[in-house]
Amino acid sequence: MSDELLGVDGPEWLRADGADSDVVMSSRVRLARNIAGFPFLSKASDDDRRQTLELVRDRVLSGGISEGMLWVDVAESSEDERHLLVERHLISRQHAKGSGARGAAISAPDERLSIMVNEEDHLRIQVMRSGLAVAEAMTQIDQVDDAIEGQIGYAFSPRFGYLTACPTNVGTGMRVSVMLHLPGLRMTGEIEKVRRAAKSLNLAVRGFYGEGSEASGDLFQISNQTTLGKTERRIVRDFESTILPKVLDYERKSRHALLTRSRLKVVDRSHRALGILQSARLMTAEEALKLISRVRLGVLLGVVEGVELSTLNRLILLTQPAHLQRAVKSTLNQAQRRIARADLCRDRLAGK
Amino acid sequence: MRCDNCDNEATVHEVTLVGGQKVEKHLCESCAREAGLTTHPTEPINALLSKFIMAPGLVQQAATGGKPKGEQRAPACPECSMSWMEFRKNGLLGCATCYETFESRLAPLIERAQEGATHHVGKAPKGSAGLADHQRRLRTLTAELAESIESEQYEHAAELRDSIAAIETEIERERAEAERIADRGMVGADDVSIQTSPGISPENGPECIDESGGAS
Repeated sequence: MSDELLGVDGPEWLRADGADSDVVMSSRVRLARNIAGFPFLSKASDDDRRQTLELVRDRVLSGGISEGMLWVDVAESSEDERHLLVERHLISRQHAKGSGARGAAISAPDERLSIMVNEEDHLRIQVMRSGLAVAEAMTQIDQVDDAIEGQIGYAFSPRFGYLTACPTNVGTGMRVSVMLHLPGLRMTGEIEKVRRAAKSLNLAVRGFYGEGSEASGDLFQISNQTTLGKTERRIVRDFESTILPKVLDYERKSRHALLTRSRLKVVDRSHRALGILQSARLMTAEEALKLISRVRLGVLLGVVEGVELSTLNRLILLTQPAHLQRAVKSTLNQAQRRIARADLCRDRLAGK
Repeated sequence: MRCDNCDNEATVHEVTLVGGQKVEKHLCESCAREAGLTTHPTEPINALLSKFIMAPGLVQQAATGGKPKGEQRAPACPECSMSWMEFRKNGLLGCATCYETFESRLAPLIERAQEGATHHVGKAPKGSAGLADHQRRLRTLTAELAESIESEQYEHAAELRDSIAAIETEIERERAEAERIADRGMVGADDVSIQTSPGISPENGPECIDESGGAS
C-alpha cells in the first residue's frame, strides 16, 4: 500500500511552511467519537468491531469527507507498513500494536486528515496542518465531523457531551496540539520553565512521538488536557492566546540571546552538526535528530547557508526506521539502519 | 539518599542547567509535587486517571451518600456488564450506558480531571438524535431476533424481523435527509450549535490534583 499511498517526500504538515514555522512545526486537532448502539472497544465483540469498521469505511469512502480518501486495513497491514503510518503520525502506536478489526482512512496526497477506526474509541478523527494553524484545522475537522455525523449517530449525552471510552476525553472529545521546535529554550536550559507554565495551565508537554517519547531533536508537543466545560472555539482560543505566544516569544528571544552572547559557539555547533551529517558513515536515529535540530537552528539564525529548511524537515521523518527501510526497499537490522541513515543524510544534504 | 527538604527518602532527582551551572535537586514524592516537579512526566493519561480513581478520598466522595462500603456492591452496567471494579482497573468504560450506570461515581472523577467542569458546553449532534436512537434500537432488536430464532419462537421472530426492516428504512431515510441538507449547503462550517450550561465556570473549579503548590 505504502508506495502509492504515502508520498516519498513526506506529508504536507512536515513542510513547516505555515505561520510561525520557525518555531511551530505543525498543528493538530483530534476528536474522539463513538457510534451509538455499539459497546465501546473494551466490551466490543469481534462482530461489533467488524460492524463499526464497515459503517465508518462505507461512510468515509462514499465521498464528501475529503478528496482522495484512502482506506488502510490496519489489521491486515504488515508491521513495516504500520510503523510507517506511526512515523507519519497518521495512526497511533496503540493502533499499530492493537488487535482485532481496525482501520484508518487517510486523505491523500496531503495527509492532512486521518480517521482511526476502532482505536480506543470507535473513531479518532485528526487534522494536521503545517505551522501554526489550529483554527484552520478545527474548521476542517468540524466539517468532517458533521459529514460523518449525518450518516452515523454518535454516542452523546446532554450532560457529558460526546461519550468516550476514557472519561478524560469526554465533552468535546477534542484535543488540540502543536509540535514545537525549541532548540533555543533547550540550550539556555529554560525548557523546564515552559513545562511548568504549561502544567499550571493544565496543558501536557510530550516528545515528538507523543506519550512516553523523549523530546528528541528538541521537538516538543503541547496539548490541552481539558475537554469538558468549554466550547471548541474557546479551547482553541485559550490554546492559541495564552501559552503559545509566550513560548514563541521566549524561544525567539533565547535564539537571539544565543546569537548575541555566544555567536561563535552557536555557529560552531551548527557547523559541526552539519559536518557530521555530511560525512558520518554510521548514525543512530537519536543522533540524527539531535544534529538536524542544531543545523535547523543555524539555518533559522542565518549562520548556516546552503541548506534548505525543507530538506531538514524531511530528514526528520526519513531517518526514522520504517522510512529508512522503505527508502532502501528491504528490511534492515539495527546496524544496517545506521549505515543507511548515514548514507541518506549525506545524499540528501548533497542535494541528491 | 535523603530529600533536600525533609527526612523522607528522595525518589525524584532533577538535574538542570542554570546559567551553565549544573543544579541538582533530590526530593521525596510529596516535596517534588510541591515544587511542581513532574514525578512521572511520561505517564500515560489512562494511568493518571486510574490514580484519580484509586485515590481513597475520591472513592469515598464518589460513592453515593459518602458510604464507601457500597463500593463492592455497585450493580454492573446492564448494557455491557462492565463493573465499577473493572473500570477502576483499566480506566476505560464499556459503553455509553456506563455513563448513566455509574453517573454518581463518575461525576466527581470527571470534575477532578476536567478542572472542575461538570457539564458539556459546545458542539452537539444536529438533529441526528433520532439516528442514534434508531441505531440503539436496531441493536437490541437484532439480539432479540437471534434469541427467538434460537428458542424456535418463529412467530415472534417474524414480528421482530418486520420491526428491524422498518427501523432500517427509517435509518436510510434519515441518512438521505442529512445528505440532502448537506448537498444544499445548509450545514455550513460555522453552524456549530452552542449549548450554554448554567452556573458552570471552569475557572472557579478546584485546583487540579497535579498542580498543587507553587508551580509558577
